[in-house]
Amino acid sequence: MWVNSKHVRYVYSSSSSKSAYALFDGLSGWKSISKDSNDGVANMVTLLSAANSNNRKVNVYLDGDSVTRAVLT
Amino acid sequence: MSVRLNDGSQPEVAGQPELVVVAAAGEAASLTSAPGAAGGEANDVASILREASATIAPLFDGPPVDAASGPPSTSTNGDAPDDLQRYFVVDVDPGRMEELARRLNESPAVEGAYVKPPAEPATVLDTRPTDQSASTTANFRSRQHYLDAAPVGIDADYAWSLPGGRGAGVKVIDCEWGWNSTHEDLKANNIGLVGGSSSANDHHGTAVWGEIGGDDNGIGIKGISPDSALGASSFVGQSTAGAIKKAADSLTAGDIILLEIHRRGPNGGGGGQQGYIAIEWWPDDFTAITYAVAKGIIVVEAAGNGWENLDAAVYNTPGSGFPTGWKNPFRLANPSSGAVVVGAGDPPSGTHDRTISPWNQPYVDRARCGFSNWGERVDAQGWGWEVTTTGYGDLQNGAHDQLYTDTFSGTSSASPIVTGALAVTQGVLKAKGMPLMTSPRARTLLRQTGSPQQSATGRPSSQRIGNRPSLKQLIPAALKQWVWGRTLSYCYCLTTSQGAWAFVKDIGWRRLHSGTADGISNMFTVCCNQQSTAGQVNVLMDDRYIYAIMQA
Repeated sequence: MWVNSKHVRYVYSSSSSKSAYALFDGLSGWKSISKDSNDGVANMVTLLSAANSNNRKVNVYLDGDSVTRAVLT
Repeated sequence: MSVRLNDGSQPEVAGQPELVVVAAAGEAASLTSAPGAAGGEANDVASILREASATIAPLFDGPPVDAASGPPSTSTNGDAPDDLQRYFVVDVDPGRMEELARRLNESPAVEGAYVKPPAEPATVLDTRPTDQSASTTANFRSRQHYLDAAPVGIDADYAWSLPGGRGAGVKVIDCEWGWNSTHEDLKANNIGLVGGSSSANDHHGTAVWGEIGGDDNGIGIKGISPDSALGASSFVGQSTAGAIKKAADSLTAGDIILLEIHRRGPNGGGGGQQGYIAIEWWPDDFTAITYAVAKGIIVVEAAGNGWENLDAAVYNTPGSGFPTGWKNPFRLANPSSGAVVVGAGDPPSGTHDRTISPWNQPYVDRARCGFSNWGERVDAQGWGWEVTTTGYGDLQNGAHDQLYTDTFSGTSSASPIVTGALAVTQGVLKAKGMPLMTSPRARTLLRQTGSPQQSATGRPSSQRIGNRPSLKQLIPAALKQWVWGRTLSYCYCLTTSQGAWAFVKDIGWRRLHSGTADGISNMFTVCCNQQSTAGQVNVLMDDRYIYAIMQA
């Protein structure tokens, strides 16, 4: 489902492959970035990181607790 | 049908000679002041004019061009327009023009004074009506092979299949002498005259209008760009340069002006149209064209039917009385008007069951028509023979509003084909929210795309008239362009590989073009950085993809 107009409070990543998570205002718990592809995860981290560092809101599509799509608004 | 070559002795319509004066720097105001008003000898121009019973007036009407109200003093579209206020036209008996020009050139207030020979439409055949008339017009689309798929035609069907590909929202103004605005096939999008008056002999302009924008109504012919608005600026009652400026003042960026005219050049005078050349060679016409181009208007100009090599050295020599600083505009190394110059090429052999042109030359598809001027300045070609369109009456005779021709010719018939191709391309760009072509960009794209010129005996392809447009090539090439100084409204990505998009403000969503995964990630990094900081980007994009992005 789409969850709209959320600030990104934290973005987490590690040196493990496709390992990235985000915490959104108004949503409970960390959401994992879906591990579909290396570059897809990297793109998602780029988008969420830009939103976080510039106080922009995002619309995210959640598949359970995983983020599969996002719009930087 | 009766067809004969136009030998030039009786042009179907013709202009008048014009005496043009270019004021020396700072002297424009003194040229129109009364004798003595500017003080003593400084106003000798007024005395010269009075003695000749002549009057002088600004060549370009309208408010003075300045930084606040006029076109930009420099332009990315072409070369800087000259100062329009320095140009004047003298009203005097044509028989006294040369002598008066000589005297005016002796004045320190005058930088140049020159006489322009009468101009004519750039058609070759003088057609005569057929005996065949009809109460109800048939559909002549099957005779318009210039619309067919490339290389025979320009791929009009392809353009018509695209949103905007019928030229909606684009205005085209034809500059020449006469038009039939009540023709049955020219009613849908006719905006009429914007300046001057229409000649009673209106066949030529009617034929031009039909090629570009004939109505899509199931009868007669169909124009290349049937949804474009068709207008006219006449050389009847206006100088040629004045008519061009009037047209430009009636249009906005992205619209099109067509110059259906040629004039006797320095190699002319040998009879007929031999030596007739494109009008940008004359300084005032050149200035009027650069004015239009600087406004973002595409100007299409007939190369002329003078069977001349425009690269010849004779064109480097300024005409008598030309202002200092004039340079041959037919050389690519010199300042350019920015206009698209169009030559005439043969249709395929067998068109309308004919294999030989009225010049007794075998038709060789896309070879230079024997009469067409050529040279490095010529950008593209259209059909120079066998063009089926409105007017004349050699295909269908009868009421004036129901006349059709099968034999429109010359760089006159060639130029509307290129004009129509550009109009539908602008329509597609407009429909997709993409920036419209400027005249110089149109020139570049026409040179980079299209069906190549071919050689015929005595007419080698080295005598350049350029390619015949192919809309299947031209439209995609026009769509792919750098768009400068934009912001991104949104960025969007998937977690699957190479799934990333950006929304370019005022244009729309574009996918980052698939290539390498890391390349897309790099572009997406720039997109996200710039979107989140409201920074500007320059984007290489078309109607579907972003191919490259530059953080501005």
